[in-house]
Amino acid sequence: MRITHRMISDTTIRNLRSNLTRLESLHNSITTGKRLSRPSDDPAAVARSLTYSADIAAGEAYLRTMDSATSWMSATDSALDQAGNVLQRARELAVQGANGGSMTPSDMQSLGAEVDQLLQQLGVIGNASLRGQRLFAGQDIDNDPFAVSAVLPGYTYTGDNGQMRREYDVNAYLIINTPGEATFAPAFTAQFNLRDHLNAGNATAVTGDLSEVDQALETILSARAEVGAKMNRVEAAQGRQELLQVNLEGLRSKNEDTDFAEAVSKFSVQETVYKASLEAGGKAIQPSLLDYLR
Amino acid sequence: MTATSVNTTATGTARNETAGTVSTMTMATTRMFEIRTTRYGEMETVHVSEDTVLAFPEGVPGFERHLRFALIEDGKLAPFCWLQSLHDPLVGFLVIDPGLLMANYELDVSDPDAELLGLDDPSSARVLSILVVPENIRAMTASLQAPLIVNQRKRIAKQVILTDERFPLRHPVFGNDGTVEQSLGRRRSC
Amino acid sequence: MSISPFFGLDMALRALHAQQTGIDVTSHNVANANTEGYSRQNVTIVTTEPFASPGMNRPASAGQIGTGSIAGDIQRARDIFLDTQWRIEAGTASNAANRNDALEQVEVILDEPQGVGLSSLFNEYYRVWNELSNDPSAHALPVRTTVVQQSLSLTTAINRIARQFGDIRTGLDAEVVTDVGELNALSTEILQLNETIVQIELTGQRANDLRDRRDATLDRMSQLVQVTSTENADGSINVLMGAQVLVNGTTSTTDLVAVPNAGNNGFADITFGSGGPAATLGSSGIAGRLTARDTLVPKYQASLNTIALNLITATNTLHAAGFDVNGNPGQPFFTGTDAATISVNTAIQADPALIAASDTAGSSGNNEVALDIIRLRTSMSPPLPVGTPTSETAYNSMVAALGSDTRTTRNEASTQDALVELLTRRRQSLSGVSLDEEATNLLRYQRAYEAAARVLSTYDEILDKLINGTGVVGR
Repeated sequence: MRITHRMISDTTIRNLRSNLTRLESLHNSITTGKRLSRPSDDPAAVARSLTYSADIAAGEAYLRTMDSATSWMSATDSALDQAGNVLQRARELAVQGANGGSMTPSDMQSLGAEVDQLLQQLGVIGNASLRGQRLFAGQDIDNDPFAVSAVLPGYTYTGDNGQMRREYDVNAYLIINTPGEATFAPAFTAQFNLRDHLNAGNATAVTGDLSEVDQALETILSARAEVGAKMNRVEAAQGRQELLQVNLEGLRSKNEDTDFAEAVSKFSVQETVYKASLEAGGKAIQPSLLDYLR
Repeated sequence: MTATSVNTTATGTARNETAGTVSTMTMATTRMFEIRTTRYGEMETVHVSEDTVLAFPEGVPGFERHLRFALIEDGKLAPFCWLQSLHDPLVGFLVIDPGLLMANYELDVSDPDAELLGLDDPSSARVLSILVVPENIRAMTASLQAPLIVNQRKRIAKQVILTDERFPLRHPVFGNDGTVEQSLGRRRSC
Repeated sequence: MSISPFFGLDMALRALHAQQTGIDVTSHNVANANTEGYSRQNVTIVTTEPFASPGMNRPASAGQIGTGSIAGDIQRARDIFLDTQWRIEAGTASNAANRNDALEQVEVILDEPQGVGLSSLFNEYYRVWNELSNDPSAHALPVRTTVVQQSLSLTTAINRIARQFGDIRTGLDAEVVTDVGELNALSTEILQLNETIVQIELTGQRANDLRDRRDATLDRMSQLVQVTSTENADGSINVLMGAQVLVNGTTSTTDLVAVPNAGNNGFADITFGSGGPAATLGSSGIAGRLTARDTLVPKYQASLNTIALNLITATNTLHAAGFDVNGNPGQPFFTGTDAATISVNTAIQADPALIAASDTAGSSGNNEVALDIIRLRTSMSPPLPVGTPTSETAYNSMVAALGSDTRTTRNEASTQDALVELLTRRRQSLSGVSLDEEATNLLRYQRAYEAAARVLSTYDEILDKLINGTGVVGR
């Protein structure tokens, strides 16, 4: 159901009268106790307040981890997007080449030359990095993992298969990297073969390459989907953690009441004025909250 | 040192002779009890009336075991109110009617949430926002994205998370340029 | 038979003296109304021995003739039982106060929860390790530097607290030595008072003011050690601490000696006499300080040492299984064995690249060891045995225990203070000077004095008549 502010206001107005009445008749005996300034003031409470502070600190750390993880995965997603575009173009060229009949060997070779360019591009994409750290090298992030090769499978991979783990909540881990070799290998191989077959003018083989390219595309897309799903997971976790942080920070354990009490006391004056105006049935424009704090 | 006083406003007894039954009509009995709170920064003991207590069946995120809070509306704090956990005197929140901070603050309560709150009718709902008050109180923010919905009649409440982008998790109470949203019909209370 | 008028004169004179003494004592009381330890003095005016009327072996007339009165005994209004009670409770109060004092000092050092204590430093420590886990590679040198710096902040704070705990104990030791010196001076004072009192009382008088001073000295002694006293026939007292005799009448005193004990940081053991057995101090002020010095504060030192040692051992074990930027196995991250000595390995301080965040040699993006070290925040095992508390848990327990102990001793101290206050008031009401009462007494003595003076002048007149008015024939 929808709750609108106007409705809230109406309800609030009704309640205000009774609230004020209740405020006046509320038996409010305040016996001022001691501030929590020493453990002996309230040992159990002090221990708990230390725990709340630690929870807040831990929460902040998790939020930062999630930010950093999101950056990494976002960069990964961009790179995979580019790889997908490369493969799409390769696919188009493969389709053309498969129609061998109307093409001359030199036409085919032109296509082959372009596929070679695409192959080089793929090599560059495979070595994509974020702030100098390679996205697809496993844990060997300081070195370029891919080099285009003159022989099958069309690449050499010098990265490792390590997983980059991040802790985003107590004992909750996320692997933020996408395995380089498994993801890119089909693409390299497919394009390598496509180029060679195009250069050889072998239209039949090119038809076979087309399905290889499709599979390579499939691999890239599914890697992207996985990254997307992880990013969603992190976003949800981030939202929850942020809410938790705000709630934890809502606890007022520091004593900043001197300013606050003063600010609030100015409102008490307004309370009287407002009461009067209500009773008078007037709808005077209420000054803003800030006016009393300036 | 602790005293619980009982305020009974009216008690009447009606006797139905023919039916042979006695029915007792009791008007609202507001029991007062003592809670401990740190709302002014110091640990103190305050008497509150039973009808200020709200049940939070799911607690509050981060405080799932805190199932009962007292909403203290002290004139000294107005327009802010204090939501004090009865489970731990250290857990208390400064809250405010978000309508004071933003015009047209409106939200949709999902069916499951409405059911949890026993909310049949929007007019029995009341909305509060938790405030974060840092060292510099002018940097105070309200959690507009995660309001507390209160069923006033049934005294049940819950914190919900809204998806409307207009309502951030940390809405500056005093605005970035020092102005406050003007709001028609804005009233001063929680 | 007739009584010589001289006899009457004599009697009147005695009456005058007796009342004069009464007035003197009252003035003395009034003058000492505010003197601490002063016991109100009463004059007991007793009748003098009546004469039997003269005659051979037997009074000829009926009855005895009174001979008047003299100021008998000037007594102090004092209740020995109350004094003993006061001394016991005052001693207990000192004991509690000293223990409470020491614990409050410990609280100040820890500075929780409002200050920047170890709790927030631990939070920061884990925060920076988390930063490292997000960016473990060789190139993240600024992050590594921060890890070193924050770890060092943590260890130097632990060192400082350990040192300050030691300072509290040293301070307590110095206070014990001072207290022992004071006690010995008090023993000597009692000896001297004994000597003087004995001399005065040999003459038959009561040395009331000196006895008051001696009682006050005993009061002060009982706040340092538990003492009992017994009075000897000559008016001197023996002061005993348990079975050990501190003051032996007018003969001698035995001093307590503070002997540094090398086996206890050089802190003093207290012996009865030089080279004597351990002093049986009882449970008074000095004992309270010793308890704080040797039991209470060390308990917190031990807790902190355990926290430090566990952190060192666990972290180093994990770190040793890791590899630094150069592909070399991790060196110990922390050095030291306890709270006073814990520090960050100087080699790592000089070169943060030596932090072993990775679990595989040469694997730059590997952060597994960093993740392991962060996990110590929520669990110390592995590598430590299951059930080992985390730094946070152990520290919070320590803080809670400290809070609880301090609260308890504070309550103890204030309850004792209330009790002592009550007993003081009772002593005061018994021995204290009530100015109203003294004013009434003064009036009474004055009237009696005047009456006696009139009697004297009557006799004087009679005598005058007799002496000067008779037998003047021929003058």
